[in-house]
Amino acid sequence: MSTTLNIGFVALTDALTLIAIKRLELDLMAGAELRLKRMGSWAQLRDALLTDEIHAAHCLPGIPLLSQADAYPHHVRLATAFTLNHYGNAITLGNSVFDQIPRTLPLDEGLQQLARQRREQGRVLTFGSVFPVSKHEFELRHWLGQQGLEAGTDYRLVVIPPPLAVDALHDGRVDGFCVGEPWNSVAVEACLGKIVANSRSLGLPSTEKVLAVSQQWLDSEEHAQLIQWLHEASRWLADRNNHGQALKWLSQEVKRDVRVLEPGVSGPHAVDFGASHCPDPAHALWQLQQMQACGNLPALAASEKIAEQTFRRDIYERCSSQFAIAEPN
Amino acid sequence: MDSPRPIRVLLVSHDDSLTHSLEREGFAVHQVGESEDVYKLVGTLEPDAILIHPDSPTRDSLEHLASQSCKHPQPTLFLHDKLPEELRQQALGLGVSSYATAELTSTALRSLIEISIDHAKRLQAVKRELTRNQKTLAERKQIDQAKRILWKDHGMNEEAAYKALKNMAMNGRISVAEAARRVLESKEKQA
Repeated sequence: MSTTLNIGFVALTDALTLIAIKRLELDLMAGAELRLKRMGSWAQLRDALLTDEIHAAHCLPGIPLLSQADAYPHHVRLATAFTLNHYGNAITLGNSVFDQIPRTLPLDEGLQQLARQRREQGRVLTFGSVFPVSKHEFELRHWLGQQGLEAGTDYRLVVIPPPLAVDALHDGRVDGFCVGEPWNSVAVEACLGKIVANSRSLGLPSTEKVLAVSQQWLDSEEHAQLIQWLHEASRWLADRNNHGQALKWLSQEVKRDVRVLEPGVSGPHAVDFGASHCPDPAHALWQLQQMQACGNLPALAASEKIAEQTFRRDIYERCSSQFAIAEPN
Repeated sequence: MDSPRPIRVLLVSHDDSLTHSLEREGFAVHQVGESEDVYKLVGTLEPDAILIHPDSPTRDSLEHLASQSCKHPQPTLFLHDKLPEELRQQALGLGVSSYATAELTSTALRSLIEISIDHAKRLQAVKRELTRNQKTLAERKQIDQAKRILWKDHGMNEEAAYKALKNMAMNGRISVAEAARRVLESKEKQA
């Protein structure tokens, strides 16, 4: 067994499981070393996975799903056998929206009115998500649809990477965004806007980040070992008594104050590290259908077959039973 | 390339000299910083290719532009079938990532990327040289300090102090700079 595992992550609250493995020294105790590589963008993380620069990564499910749909050249296929977390995103609207809507109007009517005004002014409402195939985009479209706004006519969507989202809101490049914690709470703390919804309140299929690996690595001993550590670290994170410590570690990784990280770890927008880690192909299929609806996927690719090839329940079960770890309730 | 106009390259970087090398090769270069609004830029400039550092966060926005329409520059470096694996790995290691439109011929793309790689290599060589010089300078300073300590505390003259350091290095099978560091360390411990 090789002693070094290179793992990619993006600076977000839901990268905590991987950070916790490192800080709890689960790797060192097993005579191995987990090397965490912080990636500046999802594109960089994807390329690092496709070119074998890293063994595995904290990843949006859309990336391995696209690879199984054969969207990437060289036919490199990625898959996942572990769901890192559920929930953890929120939608924040900027002051540019609230300042323009009369207080007497309900939010949906106010937004419709504002969308009309902005269209007439030639400055159509602009909202940011984090990547073309991210759940954030689906959540944003869903919520804006509930408010009676239509994509294309009432608003346009852009992609803003999480670390730049708050700046984009500040500079007025977007009127709002859907992003993972801590960036919503950071925006609120800076008085740039208000949170209007989160993944829990939206109630869509909840799988948020997965551990993505290359197809060849799926059956490796290292992968099985990593899954064991992830189980242990997730169980540790699900215990509220450990949140104080977890917040301190996260604060060092993302260079933000514990105060703005707290809502995404134990507060109202909390990431769920305790729910089932078993890949759920039904959630994968839903994401594929959403990707197709947004025009990011060829017509026939949204199939149960691709969902099951990508979300590997069988490998999860094998690796998890090997270490006799019970499913959290 | 039989294009009537020069190939337009958007360069997301603070490095002016790459702009000059590309311009010398006939590319029309527009250089911007990291926090620019790429949606606006791509819309107004209509670049044929974009060069960017692989770890730039802006890449996710470019991926979105690429996914929206084939008129926008598509990611090429890591995902391009026509580029040899070796070239891709080299570019990745040297910090070059690129996006290009479908109209850009693979010869033009190749030359664009090769110039960038060549440039990155030269930059690395300069940085290496700089680090080496800084290290030498720092070591020389330490040796001088160590000599002064030997001279003051042990009543040696400059030549004897240097000889003592050299002997320490030879006997301990370490460099003179390392010997000097040890002298400084033991002095610190005394203090």
